[in-house]
Amino acid sequence: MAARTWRRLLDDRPARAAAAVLACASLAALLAPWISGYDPTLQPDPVTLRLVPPSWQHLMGTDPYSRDVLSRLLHGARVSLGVAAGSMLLAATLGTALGALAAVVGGWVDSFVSGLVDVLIAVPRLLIVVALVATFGALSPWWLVVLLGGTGWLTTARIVRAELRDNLQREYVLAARALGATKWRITWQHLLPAVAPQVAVAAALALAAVVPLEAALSFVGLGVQPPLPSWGNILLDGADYLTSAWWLVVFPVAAITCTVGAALVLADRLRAAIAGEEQAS
Amino acid sequence: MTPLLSVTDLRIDITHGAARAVLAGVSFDVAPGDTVGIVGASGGGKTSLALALIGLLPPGLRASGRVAFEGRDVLSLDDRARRDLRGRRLSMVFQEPFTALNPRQRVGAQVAEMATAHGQRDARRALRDAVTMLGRVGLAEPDERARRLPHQLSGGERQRVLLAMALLLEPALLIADEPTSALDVTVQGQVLELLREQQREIGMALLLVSHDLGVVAGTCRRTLVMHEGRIVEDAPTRQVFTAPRHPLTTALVGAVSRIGARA
Amino acid sequence: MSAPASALVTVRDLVVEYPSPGGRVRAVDGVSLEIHRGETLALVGESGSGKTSLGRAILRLVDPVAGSVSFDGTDVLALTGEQLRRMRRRVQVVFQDPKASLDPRMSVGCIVREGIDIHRITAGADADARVARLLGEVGLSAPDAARHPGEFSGGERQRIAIARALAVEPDFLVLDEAVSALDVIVRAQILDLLAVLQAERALTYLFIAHDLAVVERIASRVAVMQGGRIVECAPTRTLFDAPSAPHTKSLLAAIPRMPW
Repeated sequence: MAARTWRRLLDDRPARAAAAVLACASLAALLAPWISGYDPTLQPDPVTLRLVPPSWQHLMGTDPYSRDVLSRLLHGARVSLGVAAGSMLLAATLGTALGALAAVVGGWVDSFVSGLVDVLIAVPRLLIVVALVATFGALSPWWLVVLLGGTGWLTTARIVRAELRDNLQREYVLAARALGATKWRITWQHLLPAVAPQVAVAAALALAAVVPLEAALSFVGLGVQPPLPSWGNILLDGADYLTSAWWLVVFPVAAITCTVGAALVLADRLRAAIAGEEQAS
Repeated sequence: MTPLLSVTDLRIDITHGAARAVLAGVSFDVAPGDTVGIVGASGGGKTSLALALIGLLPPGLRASGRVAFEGRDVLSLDDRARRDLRGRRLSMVFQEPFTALNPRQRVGAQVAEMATAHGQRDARRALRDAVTMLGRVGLAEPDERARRLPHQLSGGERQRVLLAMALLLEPALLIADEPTSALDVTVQGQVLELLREQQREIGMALLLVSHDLGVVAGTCRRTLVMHEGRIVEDAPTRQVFTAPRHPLTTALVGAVSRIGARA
Repeated sequence: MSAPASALVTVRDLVVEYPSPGGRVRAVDGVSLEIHRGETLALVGESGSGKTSLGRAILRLVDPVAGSVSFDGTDVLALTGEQLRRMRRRVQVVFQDPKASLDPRMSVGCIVREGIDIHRITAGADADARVARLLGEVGLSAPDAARHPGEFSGGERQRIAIARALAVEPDFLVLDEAVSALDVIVRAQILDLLAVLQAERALTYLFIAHDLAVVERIASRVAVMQGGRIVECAPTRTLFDAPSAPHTKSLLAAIPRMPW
């Protein structure tokens, strides 16, 4: 069923477009050192080259320190998308593992995990993140991944647990048990493939949530620290020039919006593909 | 006698994907008050035929040909005219009694809705009629049962509720698609008996669809055997049993238990 | 009372309960029965009679609260870990709904092969050959291994489920309403297949059904269940000709009769 869900998704035009947007963004981030024309931290001439509007030399203009905005945006994508992808993977892995553990082992493990999810889900994520950053100070990108991933697994765990508990009672699982399959084999061979499309939906939504979250943290100076560029701190540098140098704000905002939009479209189309598959079977 | 239902060269095609005929042109008549069984293996087109007769084919299937019910062509009616026909003159009960009911509405109200949807203005009167009907289809304590939700009833009781709904407006034709397959065997017998009883009482025609010739045998005067989208046999039920002409009919007769013959 | 040497499965005073909103529900209420080597014992009852729970307790898919189940002399309920897994090789099950009992994401080959892999019976090309042989035995073909359950009809899916059960070479098969979801023609074909397999592989069957008419041809003995208890257990002919329990009589009366 899962294979057909993916195929259904591949046939879907909006899904393909969204995937293409994310692929281009990732590619640009990966290739940033080779395709960006300038060193993102280089300040060639802060007097004459500051705040140059978009031109052929600087496609997205320069910032108050005479740095090339396009180059900073490309390098910023490395950090912003890297942090987003890393924390998404961490959240998906944690959520799947803990949700599966709760469903399959049951008993006090289930009570503990479910209780933890119930408590944490009631606290706004931004509050936890800001509180932790305030305690430990500004973070390196690696710690950002840990922080955002570590607070992003709750819904995934909930979905995985509910879906697995439902599947555990199905006859194909009973048949596998009757064959002598261990809990772990059943989980790995039958249950996780069954839940994979739903986890992918949750992951796409997690990506859509984490990109603006990282940008917001960096914007208020708690996230990625200069001179390392990220979409959030590029915005921060441009915030004072909103009226005089629009390019400092428009391009990073566009990058964030496109990424989030693509992730949301992908999640939505994937959900439709799952529903379509369920209806067809 | 002019037929109540006259089906002429009815075809059902799959509209996209692998072009294939589900029904490859079938023709038959049903006289008023007649009882006709449609039997065949699953995938033989029985259910699609039943759904086409009532205008409820799922998307992806298209019917062509002519289905005349009381002189009107069902296939060319608009939605509104079809809705008006359904329930009032032409009713249907399905195999799975659970999914056909709204899980959040009391069953009495659901039966009564049949009357209000077809012009009964007095809601209290509709409910009273519904309860009377629930009693007629053999539901014990119909007053109390009418206040329950579908999941608070047994499978047999749910099928009786659906039957009450289908029979409430005393239709001229009832189409029953495997109405007993999902039920316990003892309940199966009771529901079939009820169908026979109501058919006689209301004087309606009955089209009973089943994969089991044994279910049809005791209830229907005439039997159609369907195979791969065609009618391969159309004869009085007794003749179908005693002198089957098609190999599928022979197999279906062979699958009926011999116990009945001994008892 | 000591079990005769021919008893493969012996169930004594078995009780199965499930938690429910209004306290515990007793699904099986003190059942004792024996299944003899090579026979087909039919277990017939309506929904809620406890027949499926009894079957699942014998399979150790649910844990009974009291009583004992012994298989070929070993106490099934006392088995754990590796011993339980070894027992599972000898006791297999085929469920009612072949749509629900086959993992829709796996190919037919993987489904049939699962037991072979779990018990490390064989591997590689030899395992593939075994899967092909099994598919042939149940009336499918070797290339079907690459297809998915969704591409098969109900009867064919039930054949796949039978092949999966046979892959570990069991002695005993629980057929839990295995033909109930099939139409009468396909049902007759599967019953024929089961009879052939039983003869060739010396299998013992527990055949669970809700319809007496279905078991008439396949069962050597019939046990009738009602309300968690066995109300009658007799050789098939005896039970059909001279039923003693009232419930058996009403089940018999419910079989659609030919008026001729």
